[in-house]
Amino acid sequence: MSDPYEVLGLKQGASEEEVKKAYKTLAKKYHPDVTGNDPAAAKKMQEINSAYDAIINHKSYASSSSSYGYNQSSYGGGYGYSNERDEESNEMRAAASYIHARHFREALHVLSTVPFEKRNGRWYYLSAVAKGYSGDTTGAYSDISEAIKKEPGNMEYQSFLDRLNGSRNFYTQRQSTYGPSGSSFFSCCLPLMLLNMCCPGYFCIC
Amino acid sequence: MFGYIVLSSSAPKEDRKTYREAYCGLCHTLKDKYGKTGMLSLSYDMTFLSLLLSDIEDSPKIEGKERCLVHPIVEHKFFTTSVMDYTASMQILLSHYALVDYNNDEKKEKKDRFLPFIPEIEKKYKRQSDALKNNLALIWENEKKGIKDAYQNSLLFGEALGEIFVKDENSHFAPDLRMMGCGMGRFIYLLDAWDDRKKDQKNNRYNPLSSDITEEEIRTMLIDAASCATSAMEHMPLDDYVPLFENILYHGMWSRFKVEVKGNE
Repeated sequence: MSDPYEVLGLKQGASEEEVKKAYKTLAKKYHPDVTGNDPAAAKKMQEINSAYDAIINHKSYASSSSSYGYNQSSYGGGYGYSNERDEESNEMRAAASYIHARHFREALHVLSTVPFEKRNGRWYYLSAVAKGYSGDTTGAYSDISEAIKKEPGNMEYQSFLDRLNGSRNFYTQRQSTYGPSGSSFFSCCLPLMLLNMCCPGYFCIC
Repeated sequence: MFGYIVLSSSAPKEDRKTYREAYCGLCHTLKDKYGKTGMLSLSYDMTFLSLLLSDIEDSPKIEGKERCLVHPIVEHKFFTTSVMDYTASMQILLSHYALVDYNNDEKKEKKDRFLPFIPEIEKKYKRQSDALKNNLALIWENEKKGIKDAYQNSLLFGEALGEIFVKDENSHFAPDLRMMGCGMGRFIYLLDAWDDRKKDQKNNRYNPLSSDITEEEIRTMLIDAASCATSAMEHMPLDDYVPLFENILYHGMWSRFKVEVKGNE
């Protein structure tokens, strides 16, 4: 794969802001609305997307898990290297492929078809990842804990749990820099907004 | 459920101005599309989504100045962007269901002035409309049965809001928007339940939170939901309004939480 920075027209080590700006400029240039569904432009857009993901995921991962990023090797990877994986059911393989393609709901759907007695550590891990990335981080916690319980010492599972915790901790730290939460700027509006809902006809007039 | 996605008082003047002008821009769009009735549905929640989608799509501001029904004397600035056509429709949809919910809760028959617009919105935005309709139906069923499951209910609401956040299913950032919407939806649902719990207890009404929930427990649940939203945000190529989004997600959204806690002490 070509150097992701190069794809975005940047120098190695460009800042996150530069990456995001460059991405948006290119995304506009190769947008189907502009290129008229040209297959070459579509291919270029795929490259740009992959380059963006590769850089951003690496950055969030390296910056000690403020987010739990999309590290490709962290899920879905590793097939064909282990006998154990070869014996994995079709459902589990399909779920991993869906996760890899970021189709998290489809992954959850196929996982739900695996009968309860066949749900091993790996099942709970895949379920945790799919839940986490579709926005159910509470469910992700409970599933990854179950996965670790079934296979203590599995580094992959532990690392996902660490990321979930990292995300919460980062949030709490970041939040503390704002000081105690008090009234909102628009708090004068709130009673009116509520009134608005109850008795349409009132406006926020602040 | 509206009124949580606000800036905190610590937000810089410039961000407050942006948020206000976008709010007025969404109001302007609602009036254009749905007339005066449309304006009644306005909320900051969809103002937030308007700015978020505009930032991702790099959709330029179209600035304007006007006097309006609400501010008839002083001319004020506003701006619209191309995504507001979408967020205005979503606003009508949300307001319609907020009213249905209100009528359900209060056993009232308040006239739903948004209803005439719903069939067209449901047709044009089937995915979003179905998610909201189906998930709210499940929440109401839990309410009817008296099932106290704040996790499940908040997730249902979060999933519905996640669908609304996804304007374009083919966008590379659709999974991030869905995750962010889900986190924020969970947060709003939980905070709303926490906000209402005393009132609900007094009136012997359903509340999804267990009656002995502590402040620490709800805080943990809220942090989990909010950090889910911020994690998703970090993956997206945002560069126009990042401090504004962060103010809301780390601080502004919590405004009502503190107010409630103070009332407790």
